[in-house]
Amino acid sequence: MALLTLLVSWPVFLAATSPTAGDDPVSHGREIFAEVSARNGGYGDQQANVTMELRRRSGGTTTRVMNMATLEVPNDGARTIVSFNNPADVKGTEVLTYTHSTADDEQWIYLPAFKRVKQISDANKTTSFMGSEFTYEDLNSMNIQLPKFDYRYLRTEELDGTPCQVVERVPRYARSAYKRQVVWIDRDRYVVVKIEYYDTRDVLAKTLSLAKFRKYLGSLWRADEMSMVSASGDSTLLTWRDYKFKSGLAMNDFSVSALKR
Amino acid sequence: MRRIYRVALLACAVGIASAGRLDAQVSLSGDLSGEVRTFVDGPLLPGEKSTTAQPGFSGEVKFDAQNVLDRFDVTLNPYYRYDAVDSGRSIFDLHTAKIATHGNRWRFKAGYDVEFWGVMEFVNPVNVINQRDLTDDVVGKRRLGQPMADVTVLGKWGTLDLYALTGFRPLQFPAATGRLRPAVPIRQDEEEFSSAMGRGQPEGAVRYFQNFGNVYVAASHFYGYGREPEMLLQADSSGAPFLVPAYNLEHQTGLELQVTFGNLVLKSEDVLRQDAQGNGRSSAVAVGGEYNLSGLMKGGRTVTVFGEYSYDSRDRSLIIPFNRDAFAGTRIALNDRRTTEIQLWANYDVAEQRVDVVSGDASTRLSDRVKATVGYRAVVAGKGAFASVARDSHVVFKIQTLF
Repeated sequence: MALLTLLVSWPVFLAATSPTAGDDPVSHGREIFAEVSARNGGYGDQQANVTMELRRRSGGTTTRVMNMATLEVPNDGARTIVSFNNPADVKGTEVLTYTHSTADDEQWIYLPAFKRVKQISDANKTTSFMGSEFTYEDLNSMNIQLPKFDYRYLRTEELDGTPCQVVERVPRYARSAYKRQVVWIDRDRYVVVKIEYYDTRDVLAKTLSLAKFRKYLGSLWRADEMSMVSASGDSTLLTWRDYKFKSGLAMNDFSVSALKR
Repeated sequence: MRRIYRVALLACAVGIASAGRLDAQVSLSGDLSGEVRTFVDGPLLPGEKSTTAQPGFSGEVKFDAQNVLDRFDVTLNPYYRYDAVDSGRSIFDLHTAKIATHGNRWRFKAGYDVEFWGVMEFVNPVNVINQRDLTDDVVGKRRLGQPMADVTVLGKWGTLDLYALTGFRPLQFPAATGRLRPAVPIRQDEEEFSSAMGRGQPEGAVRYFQNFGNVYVAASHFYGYGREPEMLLQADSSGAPFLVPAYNLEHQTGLELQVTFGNLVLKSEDVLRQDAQGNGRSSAVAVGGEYNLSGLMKGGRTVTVFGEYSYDSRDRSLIIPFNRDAFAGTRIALNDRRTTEIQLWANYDVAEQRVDVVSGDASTRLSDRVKATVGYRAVVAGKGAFASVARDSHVVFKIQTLF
């Protein structure tokens, strides 16, 4: 009887977890990310205080403190300013990033010692963000830019008890540090909960896990914790606090002139 | 000049005093640094102190209050440096003492500030708003605060800045006891100005810049005293020669261009200067590029190599040390937890076919609040404009305590 039940229910289970009839893995993967993007958007602008803990496998923790402000740019992407508060020698340093839906991202750094704004080469995106396990590329791709990847639906599975859809995405832009990324998406909330990053040799380089989600403005889910663990065992924990949305920030607040304030 | 200082300090003091009560976001930081310059050789010029170790300290405070009265940002950044050997290196400067406000498409600020113009790494001919802090480091980038009012207008068409300036900052030179100076003494207190208004002469500038995808362009025009003085040779009653800095009013038109091709950034700065009396004209051109080698590095290290050429039609001197020079350099950022950085560069005088200066700096954070820097400035050939500093190669040790 148990075997019969299993045989009868198996097609039902398959129907619930596989791409719908007619969907190929590529279009289904893209549809999933389109939904993630749609649900992630509509915030207008957001600000948060972020603490970054760098943990060495060998022991020892270093802490960085920064403020991150993001402005949604409809039909293009987002503008972000990261302002460093700690450690003291980088306090006042700011990084302005324009992430575009199709064009190369643009990035400027403000160096307070010389009051100078310098545009950074696109190649800089693959370098470490403040000595952490995150790169600028990792941070930029948090603002979902659909056309920048090719997608392929892989499977549906539970991750720590949460039903997830697993989608592989392959960067379409130049100079990426990754050959591909495997992304776990919460099937109910459509938020990214885990990413595996595979380097250009297709070796697993690091894994990002997002946790402690909270809902803002009735529909926006944001993770309070993001943990990036590299293959070497070193890790970085980003803790997000004091989220503010729709504060009335404008394009002017995310301009090169604003960096020199 | 002192009046401008007093007004700026008073305005900022009011801002500071009221910030706490006006629901402003306030931050206070700064550093205190101890520094020793150690010269490799004894002095060359008469009057220079024979001590090879030149100790000193510097400190600065950065106070920032945002949204004062829900509208204004108040910033104060005084800087002080003391040198035990060379009084010409001791300086107090208000890098910043300003009040700023902005709307959706405009910004306004008034007070002391530093405005950096330009895209090059080694010589920035367009960068004219602020005076150089010559005695901080003869090849350094530190600039002195300049009193100004600046209106910025932003649009899809680009960004336009309009500046009104006054309270001119002359170059501050090493004292007769100090190293790294010309052979002939400089009488700074006898400096001359082509305008009868002296340092109070109003100056103005306008600058437009815009990004077109991977292309950055800027055009600027400046009217005011040339920041590099003409050095007039004079003699006292006993026939002893001395130099007097003379500042002339001039128009300077500048162009900046930067094009990014992935890892490669190509750039150029060009200026035309015209004496306000129509007596003289000069020009400067700087071209070059930088290449990011990060893709070749492991562990997130950033390695950037630079190559530039700088031409200036004016004569070579310690104030304009490079006028027909190629530069090569590299910056290595380990991107580690100590923010360790190394910079190396050297010039090559194309006209004389020789290297004059080799420079290296390495810095790392010893703890969250202590940073150490070691620098080396080697005067290689010690000829031409560098003849009077031929024995002035030196190492700089600096320990910075941050708060």
